[in-house]
Amino acid sequence: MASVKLKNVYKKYPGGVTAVSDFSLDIEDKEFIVLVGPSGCGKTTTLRMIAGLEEITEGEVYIGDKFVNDVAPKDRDIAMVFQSYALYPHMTVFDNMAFGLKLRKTPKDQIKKRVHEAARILEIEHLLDRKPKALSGGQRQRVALGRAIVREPKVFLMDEPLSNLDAKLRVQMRTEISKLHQKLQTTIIYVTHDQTEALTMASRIVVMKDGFIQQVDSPQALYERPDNLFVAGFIGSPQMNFINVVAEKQGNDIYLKFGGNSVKLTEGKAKKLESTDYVGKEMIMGIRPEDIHDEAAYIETMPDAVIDAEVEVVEMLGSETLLYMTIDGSTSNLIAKVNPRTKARTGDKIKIAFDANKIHLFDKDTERTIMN
Amino acid sequence: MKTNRLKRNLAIFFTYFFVFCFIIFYMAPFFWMLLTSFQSQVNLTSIPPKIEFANWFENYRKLLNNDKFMLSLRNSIIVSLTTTILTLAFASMGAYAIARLNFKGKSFILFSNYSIQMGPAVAFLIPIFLIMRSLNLIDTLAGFIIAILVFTLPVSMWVLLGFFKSIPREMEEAGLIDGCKRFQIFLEIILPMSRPGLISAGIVTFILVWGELLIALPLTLSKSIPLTVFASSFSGIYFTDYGGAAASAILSALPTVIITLVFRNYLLKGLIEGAVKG
Repeated sequence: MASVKLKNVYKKYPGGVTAVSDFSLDIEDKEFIVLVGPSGCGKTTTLRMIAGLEEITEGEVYIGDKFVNDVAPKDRDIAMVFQSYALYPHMTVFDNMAFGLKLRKTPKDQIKKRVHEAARILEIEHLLDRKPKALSGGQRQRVALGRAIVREPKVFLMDEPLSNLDAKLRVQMRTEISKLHQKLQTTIIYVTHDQTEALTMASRIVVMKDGFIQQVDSPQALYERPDNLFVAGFIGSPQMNFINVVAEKQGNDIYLKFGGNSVKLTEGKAKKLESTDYVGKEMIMGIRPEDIHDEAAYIETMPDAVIDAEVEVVEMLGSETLLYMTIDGSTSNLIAKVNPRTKARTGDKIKIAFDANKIHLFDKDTERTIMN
Repeated sequence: MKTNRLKRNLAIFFTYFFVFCFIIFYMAPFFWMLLTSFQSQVNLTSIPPKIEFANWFENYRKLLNNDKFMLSLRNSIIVSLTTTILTLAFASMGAYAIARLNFKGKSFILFSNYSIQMGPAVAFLIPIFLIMRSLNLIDTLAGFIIAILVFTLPVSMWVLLGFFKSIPREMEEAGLIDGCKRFQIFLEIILPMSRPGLISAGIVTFILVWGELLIALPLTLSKSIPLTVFASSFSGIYFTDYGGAAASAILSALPTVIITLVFRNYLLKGLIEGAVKG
């Protein structure tokens, strides 16, 4: 078990491409950290630098108290699970799991004990004599995890380990990895581009874009208080709606105007906004799909946050329904996640209400959050 | 419906017909050689030639009692096996280095590799002969083996390069994290995973060396002659022992035919992989 520390880490490739810029992060012992971001954001490169598979151009990496910039991967006391599993096809499951221990000259009885113990935890004891090609995707994934577990490393590194599995198996394995983390109590650094994986598994999430950290926080905090427009849009599915608005003061109230519509800010938010110099300026309003309502009762209680919209597409998902809408007098589109009993149908002109407490505001130029 | 079936049957018929013609065209000389090897010199020189099977094993009996034949057989076995082993050892390391490492002169090595394959072997003959003579390696098995490596290494490297390139880098990275050193990765992960490639490169090398005559002729004189050189000695200015030559050619061809038949799947897989990914 160990903490991991990255201090102002950079990765620059010949030709001037910078994959990771000024990456600083303190990962505590036993933490489950997820690096998430779109393709090419530098998350895998960061993981590979921690693993020692990629040279660090600048900065420092510590595993525990040990400075590991120039330490070979095998001496970093880490184990890695790869996206493609990277199981050795010419070895049996047992040999795959035992390979690392054999190279470290672990006594044979110890190897046998540890492999069987890991296989028991992962429920793959009956597969130990098989070769990888005789296993299903899910079983291969378990073997790859088993290979990492038997080493009893200080840190587990996982590079999109579930992305090759089908949707059902992915959900199942997600839970199993979380259980495994609770059982093993080891530091895990996990890379994914799937925000659902990040939200469901992580103790903290690191959102990355273009090689830079955008925000590091707990899943709940990231969802509720995104630092900028990118994080707000990246975390959450369907993603947050964004509308260009102008804040206007009318008496003691502040209204957000867009097209022919206006939404009144709550007292608390209005006070906050007034303390800034954004009143009268153009901003971006963010509202999550679940914070838009079409029920009559809700519309009646929130008369100051009601707007007109036209339904373009209705997606029934069983437990909820998604409404894809256009707003009158505005080019913006909206997605609302509403009760499946909704009566809205394609082509209907309906009234919808925003939950004014859940409105986020972003600076149009810097894209930083003004208020959550 | 009926016309379609007729068309399909006609297509099948013509496919088989052409394949049959091809087989006849390519196998006829071999069958003629086999037939010749069972005939006496008298039968073969009669006009028209007679075909009899009265004393059909005579040419083979004579050959197996010929010390020179046994010596050349021994030489061919030693040279072919040694060259195959050395080729696989050097070619696998060379191909791995080219596939995975970046170093100065890599493109020059690749270019040289392909040039040797494309250039006519006879062009290299004189320099090789001169080098071997200056090293006192004429008419030695070592000299023959070193010379033949010039031609077998590029072919095997080409076959193996495709294989190594097709192995995902993650395999090696998993090895690095598991605790392997670079050479251990090569030995314990890359080589076992490239078994089909190694087998096909080995077969190609063995067949090349076993049938080699052009290099062997100037480099081997008496004690190091391989089977191919021995077989060519049946043809003289005043007399040619057709039966003996045919029997010797059949015995020479036998190992390569058997090896090709047994390992044909590996051979195909190895060569296709090399061609596509190389």
